[in-house]
Amino acid sequence: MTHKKHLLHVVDLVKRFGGLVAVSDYSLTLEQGELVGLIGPNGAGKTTVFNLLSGVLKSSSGNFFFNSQNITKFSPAQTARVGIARTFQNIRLFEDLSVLDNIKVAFHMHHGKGFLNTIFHTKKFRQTEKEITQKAMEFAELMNLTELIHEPAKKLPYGDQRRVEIARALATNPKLLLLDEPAAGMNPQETAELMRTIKEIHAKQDMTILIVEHDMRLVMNLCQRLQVLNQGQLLAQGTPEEIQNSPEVIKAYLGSPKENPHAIC
Amino acid sequence: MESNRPRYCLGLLIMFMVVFSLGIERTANDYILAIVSFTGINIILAVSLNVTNGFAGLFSLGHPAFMAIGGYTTALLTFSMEKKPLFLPDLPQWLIPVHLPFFPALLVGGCFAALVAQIVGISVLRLKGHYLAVATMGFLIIVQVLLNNANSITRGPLGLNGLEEFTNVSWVAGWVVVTIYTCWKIKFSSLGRSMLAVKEDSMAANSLGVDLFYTRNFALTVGAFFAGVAGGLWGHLITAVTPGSFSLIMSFNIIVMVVVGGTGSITGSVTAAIIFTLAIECFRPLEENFGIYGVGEIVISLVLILILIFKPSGMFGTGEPKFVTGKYKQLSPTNGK
Repeated sequence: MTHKKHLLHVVDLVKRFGGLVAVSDYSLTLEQGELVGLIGPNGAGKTTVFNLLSGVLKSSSGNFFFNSQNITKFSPAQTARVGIARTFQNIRLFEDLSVLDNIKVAFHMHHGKGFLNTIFHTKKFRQTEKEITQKAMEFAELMNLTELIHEPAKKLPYGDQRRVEIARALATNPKLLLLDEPAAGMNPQETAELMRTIKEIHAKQDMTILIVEHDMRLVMNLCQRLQVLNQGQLLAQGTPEEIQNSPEVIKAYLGSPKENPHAIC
Repeated sequence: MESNRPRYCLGLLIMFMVVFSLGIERTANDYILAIVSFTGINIILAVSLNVTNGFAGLFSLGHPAFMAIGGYTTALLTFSMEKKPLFLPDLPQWLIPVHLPFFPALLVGGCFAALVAQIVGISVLRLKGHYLAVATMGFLIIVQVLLNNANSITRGPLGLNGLEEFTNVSWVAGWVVVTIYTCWKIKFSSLGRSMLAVKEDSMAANSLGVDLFYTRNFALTVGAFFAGVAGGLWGHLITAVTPGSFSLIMSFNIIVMVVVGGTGSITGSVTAAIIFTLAIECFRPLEENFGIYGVGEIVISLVLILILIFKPSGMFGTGEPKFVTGKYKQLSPTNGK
């Protein structure tokens, strides 16, 4: 198989909800260190792809491989363990927990599970907790959240919540980061800031990132490669320039003049 | 950055418990001692249900079932050898020579309840919310029916009576400390954070690598262990265990304590357990003297309704009060009444 060298290799992924085909024959190859965007009109199946890749939904057919390991049937927790982290389109923070605790939860799968260590307050327990706190602080700092760490997550403004979610995802120490509309609901200034942060994570940590986004300017500036989904099907892929000039993509977004002359919105 | 306050508070709690239990056992009459012991058992029950219900968000009505399992196990293990042939003539052969002192019997009772919780959890924990509540209620009823009909071991509806009165204030106080300490440790560790995360948003927790089933089952098991121990203490306090004692009303009472105290707050559970047990006892003379029975229950139900309307998160919310995790301090003055 050719999937040996790739970080993520998706082959003919299909998801059906009853009669509705949400994603059909979706394929993707990601190399280590790439930053790829996934765009498409509403209802194109972008989030479904994310849910499939992160194990939240099970595919109807098709396979995907992560570091040449078949992870198609993995649960979300298993997927997280092999190194895929994600954020959610509609933010899913642990609202009553503090920002720091939100980030700390991400360390649970690798550290701090020992019940007896916890109860007897052993040296190992103390060390692990200290380590977790330290590392969580580092991720909070990375996302500029240092002043907010003791605030309950629900009290944060929208943009900050997004950043907590990204910090939390990064804290799982992933090899691949899936960002589901990270700029949704942000003002232009926040978006620009977010763009800088994503670039920084990408460059500094050599993180592979797959990003779903509606903000075209963000995607076009950020990504090296784009995929366009429409009605569950892969419409086009290529560099941002190629995508911008592709007639099919323009048709999907704006409608063809013949069929639907007033659909420009 | 972590405060040392909880540690001081733990020391204070232990010291207070030692002085309190020694003091009260010398001075108070049997009635007071019984009330104090019941209060302690209720604290154990409320705090342990809080792990299941408050930390991991599993709305379990099955707490008395685990209590019954622990209570019956402990009772059978400590049952006096002379009375066994008389009370339980049909006891299976292998059970006849089995006899343990009180403390190991309590541990075995707790562990057996925990084991049952593990097995029940495999099937029940696939459900969520109301469905889980109904399923755990079903489990409680199953346990009651089994106890009622397994005549050879449980003597059916008669229950096991004539147990020795092992439980005293010191035993209860010791277990209260152990329960509070364990649950506190769990809450402020990676385990507890993962439970709270599962409660708040299971999908997000799962995507961060938290194993939902393991976490939930663990929360149920910890709760069941302490419920089992509480059952053993309870049985040896009133010197009898009957199937009818471990009823839905009891699970209602424990849940009221957890909800009123604040789902997820250990301080809240402790405070609510103390207030409720004492309130019921305070209403008792009133009920008996004026013949208006049930006033206590009505008042408690009213309190529950009012709390749900005006402060749905309970007295202390999900957290511990600010006088820096002063849960242990909170306990001392209230318990000293």
